[in-house]
Amino acid sequence: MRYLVPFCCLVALLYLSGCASQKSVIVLLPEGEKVSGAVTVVTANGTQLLNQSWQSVEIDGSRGGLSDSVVLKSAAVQGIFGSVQAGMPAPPVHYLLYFKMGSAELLPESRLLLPEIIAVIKKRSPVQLSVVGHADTLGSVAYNQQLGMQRAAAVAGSLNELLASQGGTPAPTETSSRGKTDLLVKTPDLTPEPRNRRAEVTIR
Amino acid sequence: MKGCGMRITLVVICAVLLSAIFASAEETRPIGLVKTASGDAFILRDGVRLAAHPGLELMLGDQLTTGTGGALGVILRDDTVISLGPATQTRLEQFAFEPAQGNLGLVLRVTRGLIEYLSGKISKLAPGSVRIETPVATLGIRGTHLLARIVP
Repeated sequence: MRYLVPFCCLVALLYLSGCASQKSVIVLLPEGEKVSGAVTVVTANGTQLLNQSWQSVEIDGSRGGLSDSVVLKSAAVQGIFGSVQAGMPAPPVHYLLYFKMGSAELLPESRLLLPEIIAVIKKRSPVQLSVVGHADTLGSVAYNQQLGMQRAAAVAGSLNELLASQGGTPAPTETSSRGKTDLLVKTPDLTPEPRNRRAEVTIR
Repeated sequence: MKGCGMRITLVVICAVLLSAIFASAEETRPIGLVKTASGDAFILRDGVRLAAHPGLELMLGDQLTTGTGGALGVILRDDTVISLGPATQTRLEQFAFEPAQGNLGLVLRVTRGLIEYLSGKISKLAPGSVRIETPVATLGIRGTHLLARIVP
């Protein structure tokens, strides 16, 4: 008899904790200051749209049942997902560098950014780098495709040279060109625009 | 006539080879890399088990797995960031990031466990082309950031 109460407590505890960990949960998170996107959760039994920060839904795996959506407190989320959130890598870092007209030579102010980029690469190492070259709309598609490629290659070359000169390990670097097909500032064709003469560096 | 048949055969062979080359563009180059790994964390590739370590490059079809107490963080080539908690199993089922060709898509399969997911460029350029598939539900992603615990 004296074991009955602790035994019942234990059974209740196991039962409840079992329940708590047996359901799947989806939580929509804020994205910095930006408005969150949306997630559509589709199961065999229905659909639930999450489009608000901290909105969540539970799914009963065995029956495919969806709960009503609930807005969770961040402490509750931390309780379930703390370990995952702690291990989340810092998102990639981006830089825009600008060029002289019709040239793969960086503008002086962009050249000054290279040491900062190197510092970020070293801090995040090991990394993957990507450099995408762009051009304004002066000249043909083919000419600008080639110019974008030259710009990307020039930046990739400078970065890896700088890295090597500072004893860093060369980073796997992917270069590509979007020519005049992906303008930062929309302009008509055959229009000089300094802000479109750029390369985007991504440090992953 | 015989020469013509031969020519047709050659053209067909070339077409098949070319399509194989284009189809495999994403299958032969890395689609991302491991940024953080701790405890029991590994990549299963073509039946081979690789211990996960920062800098290890990821390929299409890789199965990312953690044991009890393990953790794994990766970044894909379109800037998607994914973190796996303990006792988690996922697979990079589909990945296409070729904006110039309009070839965009991402399917992540999560069999069980805990993940955090932050959308990259595929989701921004082609909303509706990103899915997380799980045994209990399919998640349609529109440029976002989410947490999921999947209990099959």
